[in-house]
Amino acid sequence: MANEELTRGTIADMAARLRSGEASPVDVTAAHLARIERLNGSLKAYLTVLPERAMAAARRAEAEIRGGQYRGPLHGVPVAVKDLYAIKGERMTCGSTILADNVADQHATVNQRLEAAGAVLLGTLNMHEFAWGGTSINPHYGTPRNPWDGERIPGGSSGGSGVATGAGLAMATLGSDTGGSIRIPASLSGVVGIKPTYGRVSRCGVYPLCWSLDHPGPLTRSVADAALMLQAIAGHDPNDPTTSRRPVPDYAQQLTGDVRGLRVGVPRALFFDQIDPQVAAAVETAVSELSGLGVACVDVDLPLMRHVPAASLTLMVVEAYAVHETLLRAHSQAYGSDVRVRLALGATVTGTQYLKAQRFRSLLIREVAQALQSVDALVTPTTLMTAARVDEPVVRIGGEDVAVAANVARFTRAFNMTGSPALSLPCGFDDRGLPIGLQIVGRPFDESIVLRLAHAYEQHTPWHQRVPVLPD
Amino acid sequence: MTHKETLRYLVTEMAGATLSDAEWAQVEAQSETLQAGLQALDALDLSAAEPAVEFGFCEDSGHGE
Repeated sequence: MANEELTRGTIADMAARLRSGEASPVDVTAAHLARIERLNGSLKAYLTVLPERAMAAARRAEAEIRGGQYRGPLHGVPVAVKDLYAIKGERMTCGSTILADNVADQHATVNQRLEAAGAVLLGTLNMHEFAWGGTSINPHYGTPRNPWDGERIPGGSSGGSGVATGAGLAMATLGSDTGGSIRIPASLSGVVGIKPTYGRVSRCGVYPLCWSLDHPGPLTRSVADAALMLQAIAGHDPNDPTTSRRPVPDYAQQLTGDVRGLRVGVPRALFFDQIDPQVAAAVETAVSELSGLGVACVDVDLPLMRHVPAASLTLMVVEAYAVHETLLRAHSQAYGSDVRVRLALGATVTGTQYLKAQRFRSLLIREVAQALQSVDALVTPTTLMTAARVDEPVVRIGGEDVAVAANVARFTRAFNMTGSPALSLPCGFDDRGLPIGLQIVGRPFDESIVLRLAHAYEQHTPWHQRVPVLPD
Repeated sequence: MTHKETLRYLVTEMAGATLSDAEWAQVEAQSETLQAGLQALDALDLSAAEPAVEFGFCEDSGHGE
């Protein structure tokens, strides 16, 4: 099998080849390491590559599979994680030089679970510094580059995760999402990303940005792969008291392709204001395509959304400042300017204001829950724009200047406040060949419906079949 | 103390952070926007809303039921 074949395609397809012996975990891992060696200099997706560890894991997987000890669909599959997931004994920088020499002294629960499922950890991925930004522009380690256009951002903060997944530098990756940091790179880099319900996946061993808003989750090249990755990492963790004890359903079993009779709500106000017309058109077409699959699509009203920017920012700056208080005092000049400014802002917000934002959050949770009583999911654009150039902090949309960093999370951050499961998948490309993302939001712990809708849409559209053209 | 002086005190003295002039301008602008946004929340009836500060709220608040 050619190296190119070994680094493309989906986990679902590769798993069958690995299980049957048609493909070897050692060959698949070696092909990924070779591709990383060839492309990471330009794409800047990885911060740390772990070739010896990966090849040792691949050899173990190969021996186990040949010995009849097949663990499941991730067995022998090379994956990578954002550089804030602790891999015991390995460097974890969180995209910051402040932690350049930090070596993890524990293994994140999700890494334990991936390895228990037989996955091969290739290394850790570039990101916006300390996961605080939607662009992944990183002044310390270089900015990961969008696989569809190397002059453009991949989205963030899990930018390296989006790039590695889209460019075939890993079969799947983990990101983390505090205001959109899985869904934004999924949208801008043309892959699938799911932020599960708060409490569905353990945060133990994941460097925090904001305790009450952080959600770990996977980025993949298909919805079925997202289901497989989520299956491996979801579930209660005694080391993270916020994780739920609810049973984890069989997500892959829900991907029936049949979505007839489901209902989705489209919140038109605010989610379609001042956005790239090509994004709006692609999402409207996606809604029509869902209708064609037998889904009832209705308008819903979410008036509290207009208050989300202030409330979300308040929660983020306060919680992040609390996380970074000691580091900021000791190393304020070592932070990138954008992160330093936001941390400084966090020092200026009062306790009363933080609690006001948390009280608003209760209303927002109630409003979204009420909307989801009459529909099974909400559908929106993931981002208001496609990928901006790295050197383009402001883009023109509808004749107005729109700041990229301040607006790229406009449609995603509300669902961190509500803790809702939310997924982004490709729903088209603009006239520059840049991917457009569709966001599907479900009821708490109802990832199954979100995945089922996304999978049905994906299987009836061609977008997931496009791959970026990269030098070989 | 003016709002700007308060910001400088909190950031410089309390947080121990050093910012450039350009960064101060950003903090001041973002603070003004944030204060306006938080004031707008006063138009809502928050009287019955308790803060959603309990981590693990999805499990215990019942909103996932």
